[in-house]
Amino acid sequence: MSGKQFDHLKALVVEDNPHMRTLLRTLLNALGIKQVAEAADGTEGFKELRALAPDFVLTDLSMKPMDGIEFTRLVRASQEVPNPYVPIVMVTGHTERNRIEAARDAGVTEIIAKPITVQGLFSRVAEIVERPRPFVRAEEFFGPDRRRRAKREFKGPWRRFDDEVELQ
Amino acid sequence: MNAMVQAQGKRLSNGVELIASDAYPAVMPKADAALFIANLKSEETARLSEEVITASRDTMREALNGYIDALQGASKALDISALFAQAHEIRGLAETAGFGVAGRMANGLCLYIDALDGAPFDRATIGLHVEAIGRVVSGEDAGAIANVVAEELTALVIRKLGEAKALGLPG
Repeated sequence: MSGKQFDHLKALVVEDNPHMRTLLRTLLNALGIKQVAEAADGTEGFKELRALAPDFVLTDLSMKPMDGIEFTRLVRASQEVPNPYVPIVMVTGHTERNRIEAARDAGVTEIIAKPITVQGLFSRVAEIVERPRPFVRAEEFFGPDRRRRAKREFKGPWRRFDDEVELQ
Repeated sequence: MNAMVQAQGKRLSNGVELIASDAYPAVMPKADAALFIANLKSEETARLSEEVITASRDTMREALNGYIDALQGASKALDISALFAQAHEIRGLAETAGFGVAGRMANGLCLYIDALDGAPFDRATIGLHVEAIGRVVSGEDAGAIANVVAEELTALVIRKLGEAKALGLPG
C-alpha cells in the first residue's frame, strides 16, 4: 500500500531532541503521513498547532521554555486553537509516577515511554484513530476521560449517566 | 486560522460535562481509518519502519557519545541538574542506538536523582552509573557482563534510596 490516501493527514511533533524529532517524523512518514510539522518546545509547538491544525500531536515532556505538560494544558484551555480535542500523545523518557499523572491531568490522550519502539508508537496511533476517547469538561479539568474502564469492585459514588450501563 | 471546534456533551448531576467521542471531529473518517489501520499493520510498513530505525542508528550513536561526554563532565562538576538532563537524554536514545542496557542504567540514575529530590546524593552511586554507561557505549562491557552490572546498579539504587528513607530523607 502506498499510503497516498493519507496525504491529507497532518501531524505535529513537539520534541527538543533533534535526533528523536527526526526519528518520529520519519516513522510517521513511513505510515504514509507526509505533512509533519516540527517544533522544539511547547511555545513553538503551540504556534505550529494554531497554524497547521494537525489531526494529532506527538509531544515530549521535558522541554524548555515550555514543557509538554504546560503545552497540553494550553491546547486544552485555549480559545485560540482550531481543535481543543486534538489527540495528544506524550512520548516521554520520564517513568516517574508523579510526572505520568501530571501528564494525564493536563489532558494528554496517550503516553508512550521512551525508548521508542515501532510497535509502541504505532499502537498508540492506532488507538487514537480506532478508539477516540470521550472528553470531560469539569471546573478544573478539560481533556480525555481519565476513567479508562469500569471496575467491577467499584461501589460508587455513581456520577456518570452511563455508569449503570457500563457495569451491567 | 480555522474556526474552533465546538462540541456539545451531556451534563451530569455533579455539573461535569461528558462529551462523547462522536461529538467532536475524529482523526479521520471511519472508512479511511480502516485503510489506515490495515496499512499500519502491513508488512510493508513494518519493513519501512525497521529501515528507518536501522538508518537512524549511526546518528543516534554519535549523539549518544556527545551526551556521555556531557554526562561525564557533569559528574566531575557534581552538577546534579546537568547529570539528570544528560542521563535523561541517554535513556531516551540508547535503545534506538543499540545500547538498551546503557538506557536502563541511565534510567536508574534518573530515578535515583529524581527520588532524592534535592537531598544529598551518594557520589559513588552516581560515579558507578556514569562509568558503567560509558563502558557499555564504548563496547568495553557488553552482553551478560553489562546485564549483570545493570542489575547490580539497580540493586544499589534501591539500597541507597532505602538508606536515605531511613534517615528521613526523600527516597
